[in-house]
Amino acid sequence: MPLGIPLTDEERAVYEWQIWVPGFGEAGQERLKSASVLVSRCGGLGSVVAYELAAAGVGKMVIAHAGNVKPSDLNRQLLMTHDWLGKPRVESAKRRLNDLNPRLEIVTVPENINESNAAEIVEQVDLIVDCAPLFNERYCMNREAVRQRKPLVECAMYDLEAQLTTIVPGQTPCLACLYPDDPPAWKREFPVFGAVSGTVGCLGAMEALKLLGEFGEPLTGELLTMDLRDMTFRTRKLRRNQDCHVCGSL
Amino acid sequence: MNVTVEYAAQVKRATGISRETVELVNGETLKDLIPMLTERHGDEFHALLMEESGKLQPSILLFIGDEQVDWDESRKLTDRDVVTFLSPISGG
Ligand SMILES: [Zn+2]
Repeated sequence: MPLGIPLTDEERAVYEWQIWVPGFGEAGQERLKSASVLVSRCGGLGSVVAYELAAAGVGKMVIAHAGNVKPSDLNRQLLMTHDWLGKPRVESAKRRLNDLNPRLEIVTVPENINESNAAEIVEQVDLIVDCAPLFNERYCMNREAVRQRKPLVECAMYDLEAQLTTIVPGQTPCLACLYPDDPPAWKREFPVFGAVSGTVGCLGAMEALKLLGEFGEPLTGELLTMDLRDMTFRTRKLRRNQDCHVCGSL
Repeated sequence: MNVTVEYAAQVKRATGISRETVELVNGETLKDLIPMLTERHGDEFHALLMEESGKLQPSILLFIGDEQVDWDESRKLTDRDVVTFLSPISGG
């Protein structure tokens, strides 16, 4: 994880209230400043992950998301705005993130993660937050996270339910340990409220901050499930698959 | 004896309920329990859970209590166990 870059007086003033957090402190803030994160995609989940990480003072963010803003994005993709309909999503996201934090270095990739771009994009960052809807995108990120030994925060939702886990290659199950092949039942479009994706986005951002800032206890090897219909939150232990075709040799 | 069975995401949508109690005689394994559930909940549920080969879909995560388990392990269920079926979900 990153070693840290000394803060300026301005940064000390902006981040003062979180520097007070026990176990984090100025050393944690310096680590965030030197850290880089990939958020893919910046939809309902990724918008909120990216916004919280920008607010917290992560130094560099790569945001990958194809396509233009559509009306049906606007119930949850909080970095997209009405005036940006029909224009590239990553541009809307960059503009909103830099409004909040002009110090944040942002690399925009107007593509979703795929077989051909995953390696090069993951090489640019210390940590990945996977907010993608399609399993083939998620498998590409997982494969590169394992190959490059980088932590991967996995965020997912459906209806009023959500799941979150943090993958540390070699220590925890990877995505392919849990789901070896593209699940046949998963459909691209699914029912969701912005308040559900936002909840998971905040929790995913918190996982990234703990790993980068080196404090707290991340959800490594555990799956947090939540059902916001009745506010049931549970944490369950996950198992590595020793025969996993992605991480089995680690 | 009774076990509680919980369903999440698309599995929950297929059953229409998030949890139920199932009465067992004694000594049943998960492999015995699953056909009892597919009989209750019909074809959509069966198709989500089972492959044509008769094995559990590999992307369904199964838990007894807080521990992830294999569907075909020999452990016998005990009174008041909580069995959870999680179907895969994703971001967006
Ligand atoms: Zn694996």
